[in-house]
Amino acid sequence: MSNFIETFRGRVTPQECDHLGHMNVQFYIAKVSDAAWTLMHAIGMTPDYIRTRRKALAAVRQDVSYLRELKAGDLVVIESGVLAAGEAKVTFYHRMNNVETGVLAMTAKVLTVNMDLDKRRAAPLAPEIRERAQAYRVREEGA
Amino acid sequence: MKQPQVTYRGCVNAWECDQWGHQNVQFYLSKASDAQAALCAALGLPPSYFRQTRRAVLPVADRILFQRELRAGDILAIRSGVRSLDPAGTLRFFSAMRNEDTGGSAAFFETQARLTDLASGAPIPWPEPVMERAAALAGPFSDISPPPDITGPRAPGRIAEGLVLTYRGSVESWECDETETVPPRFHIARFADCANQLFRHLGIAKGTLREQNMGTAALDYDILYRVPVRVGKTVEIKSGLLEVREKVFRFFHHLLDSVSGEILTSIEVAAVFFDLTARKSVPAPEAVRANAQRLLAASGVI
Repeated sequence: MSNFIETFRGRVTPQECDHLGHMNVQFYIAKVSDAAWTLMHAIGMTPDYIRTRRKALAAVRQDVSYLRELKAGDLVVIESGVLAAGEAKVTFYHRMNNVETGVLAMTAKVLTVNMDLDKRRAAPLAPEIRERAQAYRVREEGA
Repeated sequence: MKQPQVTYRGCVNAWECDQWGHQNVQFYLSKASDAQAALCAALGLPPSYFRQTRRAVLPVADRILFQRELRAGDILAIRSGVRSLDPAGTLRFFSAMRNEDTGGSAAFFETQARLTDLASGAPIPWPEPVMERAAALAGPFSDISPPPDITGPRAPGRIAEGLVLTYRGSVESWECDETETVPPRFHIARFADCANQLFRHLGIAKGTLREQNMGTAALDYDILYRVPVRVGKTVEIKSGLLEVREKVFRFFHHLLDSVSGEILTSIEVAAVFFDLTARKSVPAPEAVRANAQRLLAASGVI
């Protein structure tokens, strides 16, 4: 059974398209960023946790494959999972599909670090978060 | 029993929140438009259909209940269901926006839309397979009722002399969708903006509200999209007051074609003032009550 969960479902707007006639790269990342909040929620880093515990995962490295162009009006869905969870780091994996064609349009591997939002530096990951992340372990496309 | 299907999933970003510390109304609408597009795809009208035919599914009426505030970092989903697709061509559906962390309802949209030919602006019949798909998807959804009828005075369908001019401008390309039509989000952006001008006429400027640690929040929208609004049009908005209850106050806006004077879009709004710290509604400020009678008379309501 796949551990991927749906983390984003939306649409490409004309405002996100550039003069090449397709969605500009920055908006693939914007959608990955949106998706990340739902994945964080799944592993226990809920909006309330972030507000009260003052810790959240911050992206420090992204490896993105832009596989298909997307045009204004296209519907997209992102499914996400966890590649690895360490002492302070979690690697997320996101795959974006075009809803109409079913074609894989983007994959993104995002290395994140648990951040103390007051001290503004890395902090160890709570054991329960690391443990919950295991339930969402996935493998990269084609890996 | 039929279940509504997920038509949007995402979050509230910090840049979607306004000075009152919650998601601005226009982003509820943009997310609901995404949901509408997903529902159309489920009905057999995917994005490629609209590109090939120069047609669009345009809302004609939308009733929206704002049920809970949303803050930056909240995660959301919208679930939509088809009520009916009638022979006259009106698709009726609902979209329920939920905070996926708390499970609480955040907003509810009861929408009527039509398949529209973009060249003529006229509604056209739905393709037969879509009718069949809609019939298969339509459910009673008896536990998901349409919003209750609006009580109290309604917006006059004519432009009374005393309405307040709250906006004058033009429709720009960057606010339009791929069909060069203004989507609901940007109607709301304009209406929310011009509401502040109406409040000024009610004797309560936005800055004064902030000084009193007060904000405003919409509870209920009733929108009529009478004519599709396309890029390049010069427009103005005339606004009036409908009533002031103890906490809830109601007003309306008509978006007009500046050249012809035709009413293009109308909205009735119910809103409250609220305490920015307690996040609870509070009675309308005294200045609002003092100015209400004058504006009600000018609005053609009394």
